[in-house]
Amino acid sequence: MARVSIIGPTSIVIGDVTGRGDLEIIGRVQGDVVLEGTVTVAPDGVVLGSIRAQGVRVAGRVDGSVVAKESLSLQAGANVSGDLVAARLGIEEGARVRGTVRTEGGDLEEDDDEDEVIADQSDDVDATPSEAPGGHERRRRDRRRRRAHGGGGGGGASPHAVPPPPALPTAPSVPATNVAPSSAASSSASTDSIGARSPQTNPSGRVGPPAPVVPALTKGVRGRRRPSSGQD
Amino acid sequence: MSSTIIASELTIEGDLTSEDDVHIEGRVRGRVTTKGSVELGSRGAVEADVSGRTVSVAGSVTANVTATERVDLLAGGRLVGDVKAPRLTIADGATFRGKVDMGD
Repeated sequence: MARVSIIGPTSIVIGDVTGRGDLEIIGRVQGDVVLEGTVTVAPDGVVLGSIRAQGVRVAGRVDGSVVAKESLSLQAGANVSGDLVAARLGIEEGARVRGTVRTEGGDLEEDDDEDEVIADQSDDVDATPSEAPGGHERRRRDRRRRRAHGGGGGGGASPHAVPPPPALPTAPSVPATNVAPSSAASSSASTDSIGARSPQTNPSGRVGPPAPVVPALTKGVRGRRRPSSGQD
Repeated sequence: MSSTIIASELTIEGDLTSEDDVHIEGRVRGRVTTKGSVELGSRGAVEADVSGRTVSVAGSVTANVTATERVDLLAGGRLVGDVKAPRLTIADGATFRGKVDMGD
């Protein structure tokens, strides 16, 4: 049985798993997994913690970050709530990711909203199986076609779907262009809304400027909180 | 074939519970609890209580061992702790230090 470890379907590990060799998680691990080898999270497997290994293959659920020194593949049905970092990354259609994604070893890109771009790279992972496990041929991708980005997708679509509230119909678009570069420069969302609101509330004397909402929303994932804070 | 296998170079820093058989060649620094059997291989080590239906020890246990059916301490096995089981065998060459409770 060499060095292949298996956390069976009824098994629960409460604690960290470390060491060398390959590990297949069919059951549940509530802790971090740090391994020199390949970690496979089976379709029914659950990891409530982070995974760090040479290779990681996820078909189940991971609530934590996943760092793969070599390759990371999310298969259809995978559900990861955490950041992904890998030299080579593949996300199958039908996998679900909530977090930032970064491919290392080449150019480091921005860590926002890259999921759709990287989803095209699933061919890379198919070329690098160290031990191809069978049984992953469930065609969930035909059943549901999810976007890889679950939570942020709604925030990204909202600026187009939700028009700014008509509190100020007196041409707020002109100061909005002035505000936009400043809000783009700083990354903190809460200070943006405050800083963007003050120049408008002072001259007009009114509350609830809708204009800065639009450019700020395209930058941050938490954009849906912005309209309510603007109406305070 | 055990449903859960902890291979030789793997360490679990915590507890392992299961409904099925567990085979340990690595190291578990926490309790092992299963409704199935626990097989501790010659390179396996558990540093906290072990309980199962049957427990066989060829490696090292430094904690109490409880089994609802039997405990087998195999040759080369090392057990430092108390054993509670209706049946207990200790093979020639095994090391054991602790109390035994085989019920009434």
